[in-house]
Amino acid sequence: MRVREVTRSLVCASLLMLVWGMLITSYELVAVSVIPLLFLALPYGASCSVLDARVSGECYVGEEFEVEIRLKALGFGIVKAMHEVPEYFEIVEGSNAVARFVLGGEVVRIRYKARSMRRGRFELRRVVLEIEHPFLAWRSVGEVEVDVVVEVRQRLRRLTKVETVRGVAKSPIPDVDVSKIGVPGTDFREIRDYVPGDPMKFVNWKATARRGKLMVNQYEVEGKKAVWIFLDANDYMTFGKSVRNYLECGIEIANALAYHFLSRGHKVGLYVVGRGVCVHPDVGKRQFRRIGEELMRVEAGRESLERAFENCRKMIAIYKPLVILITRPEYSNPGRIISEAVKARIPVQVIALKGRVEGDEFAVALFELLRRRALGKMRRFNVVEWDVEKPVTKLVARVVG
Amino acid sequence: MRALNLALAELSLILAVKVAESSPLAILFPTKLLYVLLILPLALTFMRRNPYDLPVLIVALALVTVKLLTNSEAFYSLLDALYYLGYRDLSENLNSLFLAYKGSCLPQLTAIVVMFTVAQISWRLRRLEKLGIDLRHPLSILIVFGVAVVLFFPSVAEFRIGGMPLLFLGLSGLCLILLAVLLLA
Repeated sequence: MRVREVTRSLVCASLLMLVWGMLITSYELVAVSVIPLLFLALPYGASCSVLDARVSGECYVGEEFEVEIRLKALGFGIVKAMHEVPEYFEIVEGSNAVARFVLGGEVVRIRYKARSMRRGRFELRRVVLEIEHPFLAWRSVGEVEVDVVVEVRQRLRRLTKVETVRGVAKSPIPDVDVSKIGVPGTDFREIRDYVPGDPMKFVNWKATARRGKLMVNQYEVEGKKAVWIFLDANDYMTFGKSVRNYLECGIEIANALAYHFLSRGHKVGLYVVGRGVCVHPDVGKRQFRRIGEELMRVEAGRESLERAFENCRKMIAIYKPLVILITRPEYSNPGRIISEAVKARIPVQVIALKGRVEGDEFAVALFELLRRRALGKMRRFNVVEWDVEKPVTKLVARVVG
Repeated sequence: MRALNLALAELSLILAVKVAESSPLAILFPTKLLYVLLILPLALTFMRRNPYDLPVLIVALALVTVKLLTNSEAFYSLLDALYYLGYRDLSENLNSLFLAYKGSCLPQLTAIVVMFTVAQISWRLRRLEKLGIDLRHPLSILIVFGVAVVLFFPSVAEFRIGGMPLLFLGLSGLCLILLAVLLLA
């Protein structure tokens, strides 16, 4: 335990008088050596309980919200309370730490406005307490729990169509495509062989008689094409600042894309590569909320793209979705996976994130060379390269065309 | 806070010089000159240090010590030793001189030590201002507690039971309790 400054000086003075008094055998001096210790021995202590705690304001990345916590302190001493906040929080008004002199009962109020620079679900349950002696001689440390949970989301970027990307391969635009599965509509598509499970009402009796085997009518199903977003959340995506890196940019893009396609009636799914988190394609606002919640919780992990696609192979075969892969191709090497998907007639759009690399000039040049080589291998696929520092809306506009 | 500590330091030194004036030192030395020592807290203030720091207390205690020697068994035994070694005149003169000024200075000494303690604590209390704490409350408690000690401590210290000072009996009891707790733990 570290001795407080005031305690040390008073104890030193007390010892000085005691030794001096004993040397000259002075009762008065020995007696007064007790006085500084009397001040240190003054009893103190306080107990704190939480009256209420609330968070107000919209919690979006970069936007302000207010936290207010009221504590009831009973006792005698100096009560210092600090609400612990994560490193991603920037306090813009007020303070998350307060100090009050308590004599009897006192309400200690912590009130501050903060801004989160990162999305996520933050449980801010710890209020660290320091009860100090009224003369600063001693202190004791404790904590109380408060029920403060802040869910910080990425602000949704509204999209404006700006330009269409044209590459070697034609861009798969799901707006004009239709779903592979769903409720059959009335638009006739083709006649095909009967497979067990087909409803009898779809049997085309004329074609059956002509071919000599059961044939059924196939109708276009209702609904638009599915979109499956693969967000790479491997460790290498976290390179950069904690508040703005490849992963954060990828999350922002995934969020904006999900909103864009869901608001146009598409089924949208999400797979977080690295964490193995999968949200199966579905439609509607609830699906957007589900995707938003998963995106809010994304943390870096480790998983190969091959493994991720293997996990979803069956569902991809059923839905035949537009696969949007957000990654750093120089690390993930998605070439083989994409060519396999293209062979299976599954359209793939790659959003290749790039950022500023700092360091030795030679190393930067070498890194750039490797990145260009990785992108070169994917030239025949739909690849959009994007700088993580630039606003996401323009990139999204390019992707969705 | 600096002004309060400066005032306490000056008051302590004045008290110490007054005690020195009522001690055998007044015969041996022109005690009026001791008021020069009042510059010491001012010097510390100009050096941006606590005006009532440990050196000031040491000076004050040194001034009071001459008075304390009038009640000191160790001092009188030293005079006996001088007498035995052949310095009889010196020993007898000093003995008669100190016996003439014999008396207690416990109230003044208590005030000096209390003022030192208050100054030390109040100097450290300054940092509470930065935390937004109103200093009036801890400071007033400190002063009230200090005044109480100045008023009651000399009476308690001089109170004796069976020839033993009550203060020592209390402290001995406390030490025994702590020792018992330590041994039984």
